[in-house]
Amino acid sequence: MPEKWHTLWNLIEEEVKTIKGLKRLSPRLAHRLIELHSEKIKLVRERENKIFFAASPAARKNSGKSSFFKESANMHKQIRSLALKLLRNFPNYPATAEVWYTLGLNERDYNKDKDSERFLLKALKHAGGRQGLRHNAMTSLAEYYYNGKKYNKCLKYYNQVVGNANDEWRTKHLYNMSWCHVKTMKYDKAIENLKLTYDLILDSSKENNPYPVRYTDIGTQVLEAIGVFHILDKRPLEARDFYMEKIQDNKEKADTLLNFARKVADKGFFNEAQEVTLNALDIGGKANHSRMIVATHLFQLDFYRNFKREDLLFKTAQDILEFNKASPLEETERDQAVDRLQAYAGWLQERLAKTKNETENVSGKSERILAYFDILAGINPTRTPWYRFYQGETLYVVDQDPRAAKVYSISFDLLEKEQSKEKEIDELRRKNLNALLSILERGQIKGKELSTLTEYTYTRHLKTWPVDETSRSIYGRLFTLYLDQGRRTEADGVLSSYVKSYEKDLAIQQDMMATLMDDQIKKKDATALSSSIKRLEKGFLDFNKDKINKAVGILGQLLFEETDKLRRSGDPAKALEGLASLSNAETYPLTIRRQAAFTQSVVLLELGRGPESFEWLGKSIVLMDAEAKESVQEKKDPFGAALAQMNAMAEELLLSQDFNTSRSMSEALLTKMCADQRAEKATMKTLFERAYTVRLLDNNKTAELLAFGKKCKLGEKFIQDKTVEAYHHALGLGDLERASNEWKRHQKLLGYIDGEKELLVDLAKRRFWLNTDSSEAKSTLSLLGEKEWLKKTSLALKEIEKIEKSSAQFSLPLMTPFNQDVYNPALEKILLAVQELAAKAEPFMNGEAEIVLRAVSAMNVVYDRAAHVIENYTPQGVPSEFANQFKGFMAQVSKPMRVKASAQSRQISKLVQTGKLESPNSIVAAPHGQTLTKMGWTHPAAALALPMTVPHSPVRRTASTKGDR
Amino acid sequence: MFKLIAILLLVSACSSTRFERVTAPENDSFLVETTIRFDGKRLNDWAIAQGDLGQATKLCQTGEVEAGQTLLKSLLGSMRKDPSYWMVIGNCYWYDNNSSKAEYFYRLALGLGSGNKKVKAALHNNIGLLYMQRQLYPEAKSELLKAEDSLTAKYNLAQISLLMGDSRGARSLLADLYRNNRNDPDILASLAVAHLLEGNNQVALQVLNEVPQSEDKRQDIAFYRAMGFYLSGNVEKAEEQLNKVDQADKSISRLSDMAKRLEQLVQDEVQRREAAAKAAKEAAEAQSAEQV
Repeated sequence: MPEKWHTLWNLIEEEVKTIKGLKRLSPRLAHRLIELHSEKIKLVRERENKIFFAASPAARKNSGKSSFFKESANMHKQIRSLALKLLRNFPNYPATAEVWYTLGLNERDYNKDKDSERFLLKALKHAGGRQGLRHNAMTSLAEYYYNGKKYNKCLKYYNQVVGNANDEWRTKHLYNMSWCHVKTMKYDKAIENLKLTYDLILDSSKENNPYPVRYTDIGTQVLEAIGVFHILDKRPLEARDFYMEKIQDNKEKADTLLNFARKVADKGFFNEAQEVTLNALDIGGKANHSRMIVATHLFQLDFYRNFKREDLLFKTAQDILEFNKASPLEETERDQAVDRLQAYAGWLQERLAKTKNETENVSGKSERILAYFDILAGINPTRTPWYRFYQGETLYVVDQDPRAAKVYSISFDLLEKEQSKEKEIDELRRKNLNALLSILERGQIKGKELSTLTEYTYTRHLKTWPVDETSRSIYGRLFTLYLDQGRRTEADGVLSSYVKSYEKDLAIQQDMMATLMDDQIKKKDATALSSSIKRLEKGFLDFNKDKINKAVGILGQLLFEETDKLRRSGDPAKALEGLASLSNAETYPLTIRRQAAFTQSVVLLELGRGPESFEWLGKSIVLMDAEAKESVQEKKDPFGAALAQMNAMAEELLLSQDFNTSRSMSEALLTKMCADQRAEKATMKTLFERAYTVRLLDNNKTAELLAFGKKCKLGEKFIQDKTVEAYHHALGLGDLERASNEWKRHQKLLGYIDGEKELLVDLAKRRFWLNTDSSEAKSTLSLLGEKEWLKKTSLALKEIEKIEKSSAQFSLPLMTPFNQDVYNPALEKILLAVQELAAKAEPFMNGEAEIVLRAVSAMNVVYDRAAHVIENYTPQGVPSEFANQFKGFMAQVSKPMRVKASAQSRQISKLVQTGKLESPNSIVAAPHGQTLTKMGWTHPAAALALPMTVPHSPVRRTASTKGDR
Repeated sequence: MFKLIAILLLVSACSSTRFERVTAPENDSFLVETTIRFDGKRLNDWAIAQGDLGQATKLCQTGEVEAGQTLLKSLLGSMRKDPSYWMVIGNCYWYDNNSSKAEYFYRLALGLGSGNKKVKAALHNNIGLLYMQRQLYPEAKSELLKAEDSLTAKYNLAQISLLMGDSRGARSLLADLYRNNRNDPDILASLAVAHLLEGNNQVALQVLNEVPQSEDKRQDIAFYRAMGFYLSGNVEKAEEQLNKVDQADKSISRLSDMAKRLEQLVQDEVQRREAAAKAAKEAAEAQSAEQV
């Protein structure tokens, strides 16, 4: 308890103790003791109240209320006993009235007014002329009767009490007195009394208070009561007028009017209440009394709703919205406004739902509801998604599905911005989407709008609840929708989400994927199909390899369709760019890229761009290898069907005269096939043969390729044939050095084959006879075991040369005068020498034609030289007749030599004509052989020979064909 | 002497220079088989009439081998089964002095088994020509003989005969050609050579006189005439004809080489004759002095 309580308690206790310490108490001390106890009981009751209010409800219930007030109850009994004893023992005690009055008050306070009336009446009876005591006793009695609803008795005492101008509670008494009038239906008196009371309050509160005291200010109560009493007297507007007149402060005035309006309304006076309300708003507005204005509007909401003034109610709602825009409502105000408006709008909704088929102006009613929710959204924006949803519900009820869908969507979108997963929010999301699904099912929305709404609803549903039974059924529907709209990327996305959320629905998802790919194929969307295939290859949806391969095949057809068109268009170069990009695009399967690279290679080949073609073929092989590596399901043949094509390409390159590329390509393929230990030997041999042919034509390291062919195990017989081919090729070219080298390199093999050696020997001899100094020919012949022939031939040639040279020594002595004795031995010497030379040449006149030819030639020179020397000799210093005779005789001598020479030449001619001698050297035996030899004659046959160029039978253009009729 | 022969033969073997002999169409015995003797305009007209293969032939024949081959490569797709196509390719290699590849394509064409006798003959002729260049004359003859009914092949066989000194065989072949066209300067020249080899110098000169005047300025004709005159002992006329031969003309290097040598022989003979005349004159003078 507070310190003051203890101080008082101690003071009382001390005085009580002092008084009790006396042996006999005088009435005065007894009275004092009663007074002290009465003071003390107040303290006790104060403590008991505290304990009582501090006790738990259970404790209060268990113990009972009376148990908390036992002490004061006992004290009251004790005081009452003391007081009554005093009064009994000292009936003439002068302060008897005060004792009775104390007893009366104690009865009121501690004994439930049990004997209050009796004791107070006793007090009044014994009070005599003591006005103060009398006033108090009458006041207490008036209150006692008022509480006991004995209003006439009450008025009797109040009429006396209120006359006391010194009582500061005079206003209170007047107020109570007015109520007594009201209770006795005397409204005029009650109102008059109250007006008086209000004036006393106003007047006594002024500085120039005309009254002895300042009366208690119960102005508010008075004003309220004035209103109530006017209402009770059914003239509420008079109270309004009083307020308007008396209340100076506008805010107070407005508040008062508002409260009054409430009461008026409560009593069913709509018009009066409306008038007062508007007055209140007017005054409040002038006073900028914002809170009061809000309160008024809130009141209006209830007021109009109660009186079913819907238009006024709507207007009030709008006013609240406007007010909120100008000056935001406080939280409690907002809550109240929202509660009222929401409840009302909800009620309107329900009513509309129930009566829409019977009522008129359904549209207007629904629009009004929508407007309420707009207002609510304006007042309470945080709940806007809910209000939109409610609007959706309203529109749904009146079958305005397109609009309903729109606001449901707005509501959902507003929530979508919220990241919260709060239950309430999530529920609203679901409500919105369920509503949209319902609208879709109802089927009132058509066409493009339906598509848009369907997509919206499905996508939001899947996004919000990817794992959800409703969503599970939506995946397929949205997928189909997208496909129908040709939006394969989106359809693909739906499928991916479905797979992610429901792995178990594999069969359905496989069907979807197949449908998607069918669509991609139908639309010829190679990029998308490629992407799909890549996913399948990586194991997406566990498709089997056959299906994937089939898809790849179709993709290939799609991808190459365009390039094939370009190729067929007559301008294949246009296809190159597309093929290159296909090949380089890592988004496509390796199979396709490899095909593209390969096709690129083919097209380039068609364009005659061999090296580039080969480069692309190389790329296709690299891709092939990558393809084989990547394939995990089966060991892939890196060439497959392409091998035959590649082989054909290499052939094509050869035919297009791109020898190097053809060879490189063939060798590259062969190398790879060998490395892979391929079994297609026939193809490998073809590749080898092509490369080998090119190397032969270019005279380019055929041995190297042969060695590779051996390693590649192309077959011993095959390699042998190729070895012989190179040898024959060199022979065919007449290239002795090359043929000789081939022989040297493969002597073991070539020497083993019948006739091969002879071919080289023949060429070497031919070259030898064209140039007997040819070291190449000689060394080849030596190599081939023809040393003996060479030796013999060389000796023969030397011998023949000697024979020919010997003729240079033929001469006859010149002398003047001519001396026959000197001349004849010289002539004989020549003739003998000729005979000897002829004898020496004789062994060479048979056998090898070239030697015979040379022997004949040498002897022809001998004969000619000898004949020439003899025929041209003119003896000097002799008569001319002698000289002529001499010359004639000498001509006879030389003639046999001429004849012989001519005969030999004819022999040679016969050899030539019969084909037994085919040698350019044969001209030496011709009639002018020596002269021809001197002038270096050799018929330029090859140079004079003519090539034939005519591809077709020419059309002779004549006069008749001119102009092409 | 043998060494000299050998050197000359070596020169012959190494030379690939062809005689370029433009011949008027009325004098051209082979105009239906070869364009080698066409002038620019005739070749151009012919090429136009023949189409793509004609154009390619023209390009290669006029030295634009690369352009010719490019054109031919572009025709591969449409003409791959036409032996003529491959023959033209072979011809381009021939013009480009690539004997090996020329033969490859000629044989490729033959391998297609064309029924066109003329094409087949042309292919054999041209292969024979390659063998001639390789100095493989028996092989050349063998191929040329397969070129049935070909005037050109016959002419080429005659050239081999002349080279081999078989003037009679050459005359026989050339006679057929001569009967076909008596104005062809190459045929007449070859006939003249055959006669020269046989020592029939006057006949040779008479044959050369049949060469039409329009072709008379050809250097080979002048050379053969010089030979005829020289071998006939008419060094003056020989000299006169040799003056018509441009001995520095590289396009006829074989001919100009021989012309130079012939010139030397002519000069030697002139000197010999002068010396002989001088000696005779001196002898006559000595004799008359003695008589006096």
